[in-house]
Amino acid sequence: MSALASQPVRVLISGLGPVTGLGFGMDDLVEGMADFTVMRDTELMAERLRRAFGIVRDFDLSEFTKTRRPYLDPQSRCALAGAAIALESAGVEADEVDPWRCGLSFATVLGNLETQMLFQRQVDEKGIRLGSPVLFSHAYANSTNSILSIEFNLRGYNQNFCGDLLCGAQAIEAAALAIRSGKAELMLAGGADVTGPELLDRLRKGASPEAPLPAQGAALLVLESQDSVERREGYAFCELGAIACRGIRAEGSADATAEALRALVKEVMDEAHVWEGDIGVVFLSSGIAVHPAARDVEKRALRAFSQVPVATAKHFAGETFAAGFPLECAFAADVLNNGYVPPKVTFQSRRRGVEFWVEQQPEPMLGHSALVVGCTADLAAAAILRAL
Amino acid sequence: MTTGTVYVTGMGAVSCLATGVRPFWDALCAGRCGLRPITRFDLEKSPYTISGQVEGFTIAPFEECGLSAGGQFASAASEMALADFPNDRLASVAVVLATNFGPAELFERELSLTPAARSELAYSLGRGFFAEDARRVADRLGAGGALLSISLSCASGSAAIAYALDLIRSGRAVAALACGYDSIQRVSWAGLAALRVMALPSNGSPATVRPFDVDRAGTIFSEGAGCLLLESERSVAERGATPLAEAAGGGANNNAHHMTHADKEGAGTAAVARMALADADVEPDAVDLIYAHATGTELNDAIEARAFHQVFGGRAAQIPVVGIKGAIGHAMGAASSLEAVAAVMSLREGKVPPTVGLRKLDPECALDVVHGEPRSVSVRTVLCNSAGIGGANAAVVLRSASAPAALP
Repeated sequence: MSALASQPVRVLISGLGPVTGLGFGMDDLVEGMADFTVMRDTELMAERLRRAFGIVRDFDLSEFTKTRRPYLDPQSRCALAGAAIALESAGVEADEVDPWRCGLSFATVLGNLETQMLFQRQVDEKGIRLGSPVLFSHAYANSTNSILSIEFNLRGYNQNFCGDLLCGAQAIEAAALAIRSGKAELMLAGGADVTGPELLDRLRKGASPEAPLPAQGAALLVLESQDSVERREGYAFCELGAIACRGIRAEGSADATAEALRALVKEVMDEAHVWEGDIGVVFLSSGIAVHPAARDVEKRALRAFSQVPVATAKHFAGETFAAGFPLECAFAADVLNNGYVPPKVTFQSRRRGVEFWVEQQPEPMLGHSALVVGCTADLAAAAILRAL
Repeated sequence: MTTGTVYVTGMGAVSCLATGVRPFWDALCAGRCGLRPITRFDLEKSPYTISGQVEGFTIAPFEECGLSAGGQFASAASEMALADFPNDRLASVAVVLATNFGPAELFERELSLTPAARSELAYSLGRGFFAEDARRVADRLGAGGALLSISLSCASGSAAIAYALDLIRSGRAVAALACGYDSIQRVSWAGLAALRVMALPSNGSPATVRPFDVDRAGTIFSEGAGCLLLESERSVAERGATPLAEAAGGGANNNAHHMTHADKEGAGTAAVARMALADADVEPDAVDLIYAHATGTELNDAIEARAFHQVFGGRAAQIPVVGIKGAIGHAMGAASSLEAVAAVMSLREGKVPPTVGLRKLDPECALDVVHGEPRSVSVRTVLCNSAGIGGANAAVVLRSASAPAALP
């Protein structure tokens, strides 16, 4: 068990900012998922749905921030929208927080790839001497991080992760560590990956047919110390009891990997002081998105929770890369806050289009905590969210 | 959160000056400069012709070794850092790689309009290019702990050290490699040139980096990798290792000011230094050496000096300060990692290398900048400062190592 268990600083989740193909904010996400639960469409409808699935609708950034900035990379625009929604849902007013104590922990798997591609094409066409400094400065992997920091005056602790599908979990872990160690009081944490049609099409062609479709998405959370929430008389959705990420590359066999994931789940449960009976719902972040072997690993690792409802936003929002784990956390926070069990929806063959059907209707949740789990070939991540 | 001391127990360096920690350190202290004309790609008449390309290091084609050029630098520096680390403990070592551009040349191929160039790549867009570099470096090393890829522009190296320190303190890792790296490639060079922060030839002399000099005219970008192996006190004691230094504290923040314009007040730079000092539980008065970011650009050096005066008050002009970019250029993601390697050597050898390129100190940078000759000093606590585009700042505090506590 990590040293954080002895720390008195409670980390609360006070803001949720999802941006997905279903819309903007938790209401759109939940309503969008509800729409899916009554959908069992024809092949033709499924094909239409497939094309639009996971694509964030065109939007005017000035709906969320002071200016439109249509020139920004789509990833930056969606992250700005997500951050604005998260901060608004937290009710954070600029004058009630110290900007030097407010930070950002951001993640992106792909970076500002659209802008990078534009810059490269400009250099290829015009030559090495005629690259645009504006495009180049917005093509850095930390460009979106900087844009968010500037927009929301986040001058405190800052990190930027560019790893695999679970780097969004690493960003949340870093934010929690920063709050618990006293480096920050409030952290915007999460990730975004939004590519345009050309690159998204390439991502979709390269994806496993078993996996959810690569999609566009951003998900930012506001993490805050309990003191900070209380001082500004704010509201929190739930507590982030614990979060941890581990390397699982050295484990070798599926059994050993499953055992490592099981041990990680136990570790976060111990750290959060919850036991199996407290877990009312499990959210899966990435196992099903990788390959059947990973799904099998998760199944074995989570055997203790076989009677607990399992859910994932990936069925509804697609594979949103760095936003994936934060999106599950947002979903979990909303479920805990409202006390419902999310519908379980089965994802059928993508080759034939997209088909969904409901296996379970919403019902009251038993247990006061949610477990969010993710597993890739390299990393495992687990988080415990607890109702307040 | 602190649970015991975290030590630096291994180091690696790949730079334009030399490869290997001892050769790198000796060349720094000898006041050598590793900046030379670029030969890696066609400059197409660009006026920016000088860089710090790594010499004496064979970069294998990707098709042969399965690693990007930067990944090869990172792998080599990490292998050096792990030289004395037992193989049977590698499965628990976390790898924190930090970079601006990662596998830049592979990105260029992936984003090219020619599908043939893309199809040869084993790197997958969907798995993340930065992650793929980290995965492949870790595979080569046999390191099985958590994999992290950090990208905070030119503050990446320090940010990686600071986060590796957090991972160990929090019990998430017992040992972690913090490795900053980057390589010079055509498209990123075009971008760096477009920023117009690089020095140009002047009065018939080749372009030079002159940190804190009254005539400084810009930086020169370079490449390489610097790596620190950080280890928990318990792990050091268990294997009877000799610590090289203590990784005492770190932090990272953002100016939240402008994407490319510096905050002239230096408030973010001062704040990140304070954050790192507080994390180390060290008073500013205890700092007796500063490894500055010192890019040699007009604004940044003055801002950094201003920030040091905010943090250290009247003592700022008495603390020895060194900048090594005159010798190795600005190695981007590797810059602050290589500076940290040099800082550990200063702690161990009581010596500060000269700031190559500095001839006449700018009065606006009223600091005790070591230049001309190396200086012998008694050093116990070093602050390493770094910054990057987009307002990123990161700082690390390193201290002389006392022997780890004996195991119970």
